[in-house]
Amino acid sequence: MTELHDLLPAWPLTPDGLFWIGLALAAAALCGEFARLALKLPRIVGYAAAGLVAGALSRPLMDAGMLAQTRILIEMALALTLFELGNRLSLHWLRANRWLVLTSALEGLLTWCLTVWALRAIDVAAPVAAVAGAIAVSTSPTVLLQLKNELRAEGQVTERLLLLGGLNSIYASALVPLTIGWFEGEYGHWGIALAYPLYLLAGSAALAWLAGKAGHALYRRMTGDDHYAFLALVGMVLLTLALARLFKLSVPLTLLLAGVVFKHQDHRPRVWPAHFGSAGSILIVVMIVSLGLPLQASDWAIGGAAAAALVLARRAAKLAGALALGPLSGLSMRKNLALGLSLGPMSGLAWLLMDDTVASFPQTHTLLAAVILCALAIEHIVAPTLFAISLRWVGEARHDNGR
Amino acid sequence: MPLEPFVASEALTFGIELELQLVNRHDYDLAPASADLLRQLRKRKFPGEIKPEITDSMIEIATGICRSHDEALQQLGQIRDCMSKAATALHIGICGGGTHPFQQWSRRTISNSPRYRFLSDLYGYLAKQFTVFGQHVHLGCPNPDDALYLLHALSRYVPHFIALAASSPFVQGVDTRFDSARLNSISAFPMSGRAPFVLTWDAFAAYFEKMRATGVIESMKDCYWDIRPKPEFGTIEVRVMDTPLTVERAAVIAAYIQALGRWLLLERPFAPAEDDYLVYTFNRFQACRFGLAGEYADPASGDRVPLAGHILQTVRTLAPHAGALGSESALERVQETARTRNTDAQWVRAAQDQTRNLHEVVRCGCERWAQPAQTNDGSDKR
Repeated sequence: MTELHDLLPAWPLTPDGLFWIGLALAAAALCGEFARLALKLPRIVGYAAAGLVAGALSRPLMDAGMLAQTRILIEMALALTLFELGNRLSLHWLRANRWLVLTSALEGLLTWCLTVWALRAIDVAAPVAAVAGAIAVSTSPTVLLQLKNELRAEGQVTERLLLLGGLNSIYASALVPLTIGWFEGEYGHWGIALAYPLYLLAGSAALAWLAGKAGHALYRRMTGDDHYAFLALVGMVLLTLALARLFKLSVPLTLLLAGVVFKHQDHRPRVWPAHFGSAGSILIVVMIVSLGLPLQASDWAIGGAAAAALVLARRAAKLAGALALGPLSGLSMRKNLALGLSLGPMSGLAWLLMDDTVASFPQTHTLLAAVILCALAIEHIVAPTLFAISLRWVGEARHDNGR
Repeated sequence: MPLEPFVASEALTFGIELELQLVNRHDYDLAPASADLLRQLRKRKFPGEIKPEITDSMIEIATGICRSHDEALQQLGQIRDCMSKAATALHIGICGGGTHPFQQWSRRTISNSPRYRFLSDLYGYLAKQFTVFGQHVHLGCPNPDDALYLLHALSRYVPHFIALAASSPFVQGVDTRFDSARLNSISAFPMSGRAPFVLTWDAFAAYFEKMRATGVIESMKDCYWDIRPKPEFGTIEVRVMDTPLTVERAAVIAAYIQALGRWLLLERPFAPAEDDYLVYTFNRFQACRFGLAGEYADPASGDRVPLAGHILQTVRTLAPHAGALGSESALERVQETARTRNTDAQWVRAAQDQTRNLHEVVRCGCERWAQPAQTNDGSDKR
């Protein structure tokens, strides 16, 4: 016979992960509004701050399993934004304005070289410096798109940010496996050193090509660019994510390239709700908050200095890259300055690349994770702030901050 | 600012101004790109002028002083090609059309110039709703009294100009069922519509001073009339046309106005009268709403005839003048358009019917704008 105490909750109450995620989301929303109204900053700064505070305060309540559960949410949010950014990357523009290709290449190369040099200068081990440098090349697609939408930014700087951000995310996604292959070579595992990057790059490109083609074939059969048609696209993006995971391919590279392939199937503009609608926006908030949760005080002790060096070197390189060739590509110096200052966001993509590296090359675990988590904490606050200031300065963002 | 003296200009010379749309290449919404485009054009050589407009998603091109249709077409073609090259490097599109089919006026930003800031403060949301795109044709007049005669005589033909250039059926994503919905945005301004009926410059100056004394206007720039005198250029400015989708059609319409001007100035076939304006608003509405399928109430006879038929009849009258001006081919195009009723508004609607996607319609509009006429489908002679 059922007793009354079987029907009532057991004491003490043990809320599950959903409870904490819900609580963190509510707190993040409040912090986001506070950032917007009181500080005139983008909401994303509030979300990130909520994640960092929640991570610090709830450390005793969280275990590794709970943090691992957030990975799939981060990957889903990333998949949608990577595909969206890939879909905005225009090869026609790159063909028409070769200076943009050179600007992007210079910016990416400078960032990698300068960050590796800075990290080596403070005695960070070569493998960690090389991977961290490769990760630093990328600009967060999620934060770029979130800020563009929230600030209703539009104009030449915004368009170039999305273009350069898409390209450097592709470089970073390709550089990281190549660097891991190089480590394996250093250890004498030449078979793995050659086969692993080759499998990852060729496999990701092949899956992207298939997904882009299939997505286009599916989408063009829908009656119009409406909410129902884009649901099919969401399904296709998540399926591609699942396949990339199944075949252990590079999730960012696959999704970015799939977006590029999808876009270039025909000239017809494909328009769907920004961030794939409200569901996508919620996933992004979850992602930003989740990335603050794992950071501990010990991480600052281990990787704080290296993270600061990485952030400074990365920012100097991106600014120099934009300023060096930008004027030749048809942008005023003022706008190039804004572009260089806005290329800083680091977020889910950097975390995912770090997590993949740690999984394949555990020797780098402690230091690499600490450096990237600390760098994320810094750039989650600094990058959106600088982005908003820069874009308002050149008149591309609304001063009402998304109201 | 007092009324400027009317500068004499060579009769029947003309200039064309076109307000153009700047769009992004992602979803083809309007893009705030005029400053970047102007910067890109700084070192390039082209005839005429390219300048910013009230919102930073608009740009205005103007030819120099032209004497013939061919000259105008050549200048416009050169400006178009130069702009297209610059726009490609910036990944923006340029297109004609009296309205952008789906832009939301509230998202527009006013250009950073004192005049436009003043207009924005004065007119509130009307200034942003003024994100519409027109073709203006200046016609040279040897003296101010001829200018006023021509202004009022040409008023009878305003429906012709509207219907031939109509290219704005969509506003804010909706088919308005007008061929030219653009003029509805302009009607909200206090000094819009027809000019006051005065036939001498002294009488016009007296009217202007009275209005200035009331504070309603400060200069001629505050008068948004369908046709207005432009004393500093020595011209009258016909302002009722939508920007067509191609420079070819823009040049044809200007040549039609030039031929009409020649006929009116040389033959003085009728004397303008205040009563001409009794049917003005009706005719204007018919042309905006139905385009070439509209009706035309003849102010002289009071008869109601098909507008397209009235245009065909006028073209026949103008034949010797077109011959003298070297614009026979342009008038043939007018004739063909009136006969087939193949206007830009029809093209926009057909593109929407075919694609069911206004973003795609704007993309096709950009392609149409950028391509020289000879590379287009031979059946479509614009």
